[in-house]
Amino acid sequence: MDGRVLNIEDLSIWYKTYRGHSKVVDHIDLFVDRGEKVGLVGESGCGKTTTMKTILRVIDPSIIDIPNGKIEFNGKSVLGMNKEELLELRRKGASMISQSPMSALNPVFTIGQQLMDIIKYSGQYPGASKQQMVEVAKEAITSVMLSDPERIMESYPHQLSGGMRQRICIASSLVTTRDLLIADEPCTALDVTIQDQIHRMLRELVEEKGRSLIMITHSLGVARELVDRIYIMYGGNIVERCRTKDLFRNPSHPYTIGLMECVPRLSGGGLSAGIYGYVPDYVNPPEGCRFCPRCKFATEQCRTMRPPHVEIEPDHFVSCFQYAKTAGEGGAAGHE
Amino acid sequence: MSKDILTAKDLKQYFPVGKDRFVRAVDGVNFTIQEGEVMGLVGESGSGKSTIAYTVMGMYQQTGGEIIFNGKTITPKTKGRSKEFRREVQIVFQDPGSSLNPYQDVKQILSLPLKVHNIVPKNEIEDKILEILEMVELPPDFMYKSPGSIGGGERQLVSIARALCSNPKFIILDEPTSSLDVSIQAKILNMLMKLHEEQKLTYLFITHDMGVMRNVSTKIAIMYLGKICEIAPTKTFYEAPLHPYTQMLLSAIPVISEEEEALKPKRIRCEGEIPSPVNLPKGCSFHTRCMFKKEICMREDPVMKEVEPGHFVRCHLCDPDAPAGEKKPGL
Repeated sequence: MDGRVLNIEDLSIWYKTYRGHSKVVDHIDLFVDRGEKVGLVGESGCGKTTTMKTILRVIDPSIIDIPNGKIEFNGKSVLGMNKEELLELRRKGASMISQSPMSALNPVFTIGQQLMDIIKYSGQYPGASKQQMVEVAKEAITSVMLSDPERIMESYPHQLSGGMRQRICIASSLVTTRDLLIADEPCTALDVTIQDQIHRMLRELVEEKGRSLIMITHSLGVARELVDRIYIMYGGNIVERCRTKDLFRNPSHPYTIGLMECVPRLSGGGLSAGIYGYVPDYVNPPEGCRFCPRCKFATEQCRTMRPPHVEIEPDHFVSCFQYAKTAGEGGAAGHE
Repeated sequence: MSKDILTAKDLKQYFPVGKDRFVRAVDGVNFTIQEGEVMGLVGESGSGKSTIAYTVMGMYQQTGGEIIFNGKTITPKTKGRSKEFRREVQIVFQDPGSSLNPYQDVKQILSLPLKVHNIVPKNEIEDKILEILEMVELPPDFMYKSPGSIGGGERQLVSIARALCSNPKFIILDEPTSSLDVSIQAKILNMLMKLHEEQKLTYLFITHDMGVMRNVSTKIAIMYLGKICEIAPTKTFYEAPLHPYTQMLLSAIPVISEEEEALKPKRIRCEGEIPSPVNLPKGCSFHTRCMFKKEICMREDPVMKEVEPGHFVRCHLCDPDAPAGEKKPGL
């Protein structure tokens, strides 16, 4: 646990649109320590993927503005990096496992060719002969629990099943990355039995190799099984951040509570009513708390002012007026 | 005593691939749905869930077996089905984005089934549409919106409204919420259950989400490689699942509370992937992934047996008549 791999402070990301700036990510703070597994949970369109893509700077710079904030990777500012340093970051520092393994692999090259390219250009194995690199690739394939690496090296992506393709993507990320792995909903396209296997494998590999992991997901269940700490994201804000077990013991933000009620339980108990309303318009977001148009506990204060980050117990931060000390203003409509 | 509304007898749907080879998408499936029931059909992708739906709807001509609706055998010919059947059986597709015509507005989408089935006279179509929109709790001004300009959840509500136009008795729901966020999913599911009660509808609910299934269905069927391996009433199904595949599915679900964790079978680990439906394994099709497999599983295909009233399992190891040595440990 030496040091912080990733540190994001007060970051905002705006997309340029014809209607004006779409303020998709709004003043977020996030950090990942070495060897830590962190979950970023939120519904579609809440800015999870945008944030992660910005860490790697893979969004076309002409379509976004970053008005404020900083991203530090291993103590170095990502936003100030030049081209060479960015390539270095993507080669060795961090890599991303995408949502759809089909589109992440090139359909006209074999798995072997693609893995070899990654190994060759990562600069991690200088002076290695081709034979040595083939060995590295085979080892990577075996490490994700695929048998018969020779056959897989010669296969094209379409000849493999979805689960196998996702394993290849994980293998290619792990083979060169030394610090941070970003998994962007790696199993949404896969069946639960395959999902279970991939998650187990991902957890083992990350722990064994001492990498850090950011798991982006919309499923609280996945986060609960896989990560140490959770960030709940809504409408471009981090609304709650705490250790995984604290979140499920004591969910505090009204959005988190609503989200948890929405998940249909295996133990039965009927359906919840859902959360009223829709994700905010990012071009003209609500002035105060972005969740307040959908919140049962919203007060006048919520509509006009940004909620503070309140530490309700050690390492458990909630961004909501309910928990703020200024109860005198009528903001503390507590609930059980 | 409620009557049977839909029965499938030994239903088969094969698709040819090359010479003399077939994908056995649905391979001898039997089930009965009674009036007012919600039957859940669960399985991994490629297990044949949607094929059953499409075959019942008449989009494919079945290779073998019988479909009985309301006591009448339905002709296998896709074009020969009666208008009555087409009116009474409707389907809601998985992706509302691609199942609604983007060039039509909601009014046009909803008026087609009303015209085709002569539900109301022409001059009352607009009133009927308003009534249907109200049923799914959409505001009247949605009539003039196009599917592209509304959100995913609302789009799915429009597809549900379209299915309701012909006053059906039976609706097939093909993963109606799998492309939606949980907060919207809850809303759609509530709507479906409300309609189920108010309109006395019977559903065949196809999904891969076991959590959803627990809360909406009365009876569940699990499919694996074109065959049903377990059918049970919902409560029994979650509390005492028998088939090893069912146990594996349940153990793989990420859950959010200790209470649910306790329901998951403990000793099972997920292994392997679903084999290709072109080259089915010999014997029991699940034996390649089964932790408890015995010699007989590789040799013989098990048959469906009733282990207790309403609870059917297709597994050698759960067979009540099997010799003790061939039973699953712990049974």
